[in-house]
Amino acid sequence: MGTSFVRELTPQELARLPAARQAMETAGTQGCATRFTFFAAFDGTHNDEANLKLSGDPYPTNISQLRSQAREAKSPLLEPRYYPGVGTGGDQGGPLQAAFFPTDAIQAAAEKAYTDFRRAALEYLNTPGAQVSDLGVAVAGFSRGSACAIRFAQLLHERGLVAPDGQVLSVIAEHEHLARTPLPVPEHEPMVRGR
Amino acid sequence: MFMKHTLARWLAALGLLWALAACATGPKLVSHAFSFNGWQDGWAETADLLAFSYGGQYSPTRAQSKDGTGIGYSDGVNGPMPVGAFLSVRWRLKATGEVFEQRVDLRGRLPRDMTDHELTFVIDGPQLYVYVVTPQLQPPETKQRTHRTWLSRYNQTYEVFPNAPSR
Repeated sequence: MGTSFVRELTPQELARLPAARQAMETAGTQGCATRFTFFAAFDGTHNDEANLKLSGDPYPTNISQLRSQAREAKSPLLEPRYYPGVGTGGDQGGPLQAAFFPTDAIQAAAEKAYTDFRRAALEYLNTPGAQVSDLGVAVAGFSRGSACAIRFAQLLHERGLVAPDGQVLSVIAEHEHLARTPLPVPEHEPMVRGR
Repeated sequence: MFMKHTLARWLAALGLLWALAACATGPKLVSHAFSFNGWQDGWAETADLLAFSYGGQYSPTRAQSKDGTGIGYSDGVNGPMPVGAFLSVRWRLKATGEVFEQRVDLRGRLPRDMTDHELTFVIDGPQLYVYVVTPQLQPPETKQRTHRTWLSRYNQTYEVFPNAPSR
């Protein structure tokens, strides 16, 4: 999905930009996980690195590149997962979802990421000396993948990390600012790290 | 008359949408996952993964080492993709430098509907193990993995290679 001009920012929105930039610059710089990071890479509308024709662009997105780089980092502390974008088929729907009804697809991708994160985090906590405070989540989203990333952050905030017996091990409060971000989000590629 | 024209326009639009959808058809896409994790499953210490390919139609589930040093030990894709007809894995044992390659024909080994399932593999020396992880959660009292894959601690899991599941 290409970039399209919608409107000029309002004076109020312009006034908020410095604070937003500051928040992006400082996100994750304090207390970001150094022991375990789950990296969820949400691709954009019609963006699937396996089907570039669908987006009409000959190149994979940065999200796809980031995911490949995460794998090639060969770090035991980094758990990468890639989620194709809205409109790429299956529970991500087709042209209708891509054009008008993306909500269910966004929810499905976020739920998958939550399930993947939960298992990986619980497994990490099985290692001797591991603590809940070691856990970190990094998200990257392009286009409507940004909405998936935010919905994923909301799920983390709402549910925390739930053990198999139902005990809530962690409420990831640091995601609160992200979890409260209203949808939809602008089409850009924010990189948000937090714990 | 006006109603007739409106109905005709709607029908034409629906027909166009149907035609567009028909044009977009390719391989059947099923929402499921493919992953591997040599750290959690223990083989990252003993083997370097040189290449893997889950089916031949979907590039995120294929990779090949460009310089022979390996392509990492952990990765995953969760989304709509074709159900693979095979899984091919090539790896090198760190201790001996021996290279092994295994191509598993998955036809007949996977559930008929892979929706929300996950395919994963584990390397153990010269042997490859392939598992299907179902969406069915393990009971809360399950404290240990039931198979070599770490995912089996959390979800009901079936080995599909080398031993086929009993149906």
